[in-house]
Amino acid sequence: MPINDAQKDYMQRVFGMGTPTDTPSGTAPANPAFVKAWREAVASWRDASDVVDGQITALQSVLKGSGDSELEDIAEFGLNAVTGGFKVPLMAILQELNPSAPEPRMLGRAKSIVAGFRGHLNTDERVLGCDENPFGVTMSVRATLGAALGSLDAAIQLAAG
Amino acid sequence: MSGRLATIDPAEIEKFKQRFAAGRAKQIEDANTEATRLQAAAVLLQEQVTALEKTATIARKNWKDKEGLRLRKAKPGNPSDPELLLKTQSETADSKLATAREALAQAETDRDKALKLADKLPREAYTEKFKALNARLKDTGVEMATLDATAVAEIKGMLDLRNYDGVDARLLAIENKVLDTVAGRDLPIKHAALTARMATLGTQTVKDPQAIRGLNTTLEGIDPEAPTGTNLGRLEREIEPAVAALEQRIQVVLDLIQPLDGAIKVLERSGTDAAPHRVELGKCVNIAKLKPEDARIRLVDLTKAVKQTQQDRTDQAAAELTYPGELAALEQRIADFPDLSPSHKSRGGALVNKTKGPLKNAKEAAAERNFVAACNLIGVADDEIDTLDEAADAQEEQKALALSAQQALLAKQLKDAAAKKAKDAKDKAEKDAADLALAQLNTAKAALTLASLDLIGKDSDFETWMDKVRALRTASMLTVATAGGAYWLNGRTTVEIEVDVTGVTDTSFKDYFVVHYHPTAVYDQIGSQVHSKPYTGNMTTPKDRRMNNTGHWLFGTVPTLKNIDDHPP
Repeated sequence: MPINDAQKDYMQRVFGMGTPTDTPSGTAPANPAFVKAWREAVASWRDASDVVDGQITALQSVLKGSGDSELEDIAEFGLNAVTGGFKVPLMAILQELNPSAPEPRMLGRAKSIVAGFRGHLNTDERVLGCDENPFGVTMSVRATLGAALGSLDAAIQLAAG
Repeated sequence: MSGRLATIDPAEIEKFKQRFAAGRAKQIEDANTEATRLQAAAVLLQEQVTALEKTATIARKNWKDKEGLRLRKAKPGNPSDPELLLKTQSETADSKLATAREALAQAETDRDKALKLADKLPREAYTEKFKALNARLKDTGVEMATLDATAVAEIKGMLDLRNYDGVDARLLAIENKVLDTVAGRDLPIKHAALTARMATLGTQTVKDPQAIRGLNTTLEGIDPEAPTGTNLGRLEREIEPAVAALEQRIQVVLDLIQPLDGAIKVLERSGTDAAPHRVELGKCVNIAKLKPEDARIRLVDLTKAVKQTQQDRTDQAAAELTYPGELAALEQRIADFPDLSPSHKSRGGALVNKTKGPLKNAKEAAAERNFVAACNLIGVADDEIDTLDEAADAQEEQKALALSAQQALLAKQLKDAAAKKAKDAKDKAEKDAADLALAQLNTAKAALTLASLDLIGKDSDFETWMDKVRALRTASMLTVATAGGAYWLNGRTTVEIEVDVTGVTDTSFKDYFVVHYHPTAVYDQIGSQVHSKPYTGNMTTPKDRRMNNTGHWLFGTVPTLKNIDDHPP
């Protein structure tokens, strides 16, 4: 049943907002399953990111105290590249994307960043180097971030479905 | 190198470094590839823009030629009207042009970004080199720009062209000039410092005489009174790295010797036979006076051997602790042997005595193995031991069968009584524990903490959950706010507003519920025009209908019941 003018007026007057056909342009209606999955995935990502940050800091400390200039350089300039320039754009999209009214464009961007990040984790030598470092620092960059990115990817699939 | 790294295989450290170098090289290569791809895309788009501009110009010109068109014009407004047709063509061309221009602008932005990234990494490295060179010129009154303005300018241009080989060559030229400039100041200092370091190396217990002689000869070949850039360059590029490498090689060996000496002393004090280790350490120390690398390899092996001895010592201590218990068990086992033959019986005592030694000296608590070994020592074969054990078991069984029926009944009664007592005690303990858990749960639920909200089943006890939300909100521990949208649900009889519940200090605490409006519903036993629910759900989902009362606390956040009453027909 199409909504009539009286109902539109009512929505505008009582709630100060448009009718469902007037949802903000380019947004999808709320999908409770996606909202829940997205929020949980974002929380998982933040936890995973904190864990890996801690591991990188520990490795950085060992390398800086090694007395080896190459290792010190890696500590200073190399370890930041382990997340391959994906972390900042991902954090930005997590901030911007509103799960209650996700814009398809934003979802597309999130999907692309997550896919790129996962690819980077699976192929970058520096990630492998950290995870298998010989300095006795326990690291799990690929496993920890990979799992959290998997959750984000699954949530995005729900939005698409 | 620190002591911690000394025990790490240098090959593993090298592998780690190579992985970072490979990752960085691939990052630069990817950035360059992306920049090239985007550059090509931008060129292609530029060509398209040019072609479209041409098309648009022609279309506009044709459209403007109204005089000629008017002659051929059919009915006004007719889609086949040539004027309209050309006007449409002109607009389409303009629109395509605008789209292409947008795409071109985007491609150029992407290309610029990629180029920037491709340049950023090497620039960072070169910036560091520049800073280091500039720092060396401090207090000389000379600046890089004046030292070799041409090279500096060329470097900037080459960086833009990403000609890194050229940059390296010019940087080397500049560095040579910097060395010329600071040689008078730095060469004597550097020479003296290196001479001192070489002297220290000569006094170490670990040394490489051949390498030391070679380096000393090279160092003596540079006259500290002749402060030229070339000499300073040799000191810094050739001798200093070699001295540092030698120091490192020696330090690695020293870092291995000291803890080994300590560990062997501990073993010696504990009475453990550590003589072979002490001898090997002595040999290593002797070798280290001539060939540190050979010594390092042997010291790594010795470290492993000492660790094994430490482990063996720990195992032995554990075996000694368990020895009395195992010996008692062994004696009991022999005592249980039935009197099958006088020879076996007579050998029983000897068996125990001869087993004591192997058992006490065992590295591991393996009583069975030692027992069998002891039996074998006194001539009892493996299969005879099995026979004796089996006979002992059979004897025990016969003893059990010999118990009278009365004794068995009594035993059963005693057992049943004990079981009932145990069950009663268990039931009481479980009930007490359940009561205590329930009381703790109720206390926790009643507490004004965010965790207390989670203890209430939102889906099963929704009204209580809402009351707790209100109490926590009143205590400023959480906020309640609409999530930002209100929508008709399918069927258009329900308007839903999602409401977020968020912790104030702990913002990671998040939950939500929904408020439903049914403008056409009436309040009766099941229906109401407004109520809250834990989630969208359906007719059977629990709901809190108390919002039907004017003045409900939620109306500070969501539209009021009064407004709901004011709904349109």
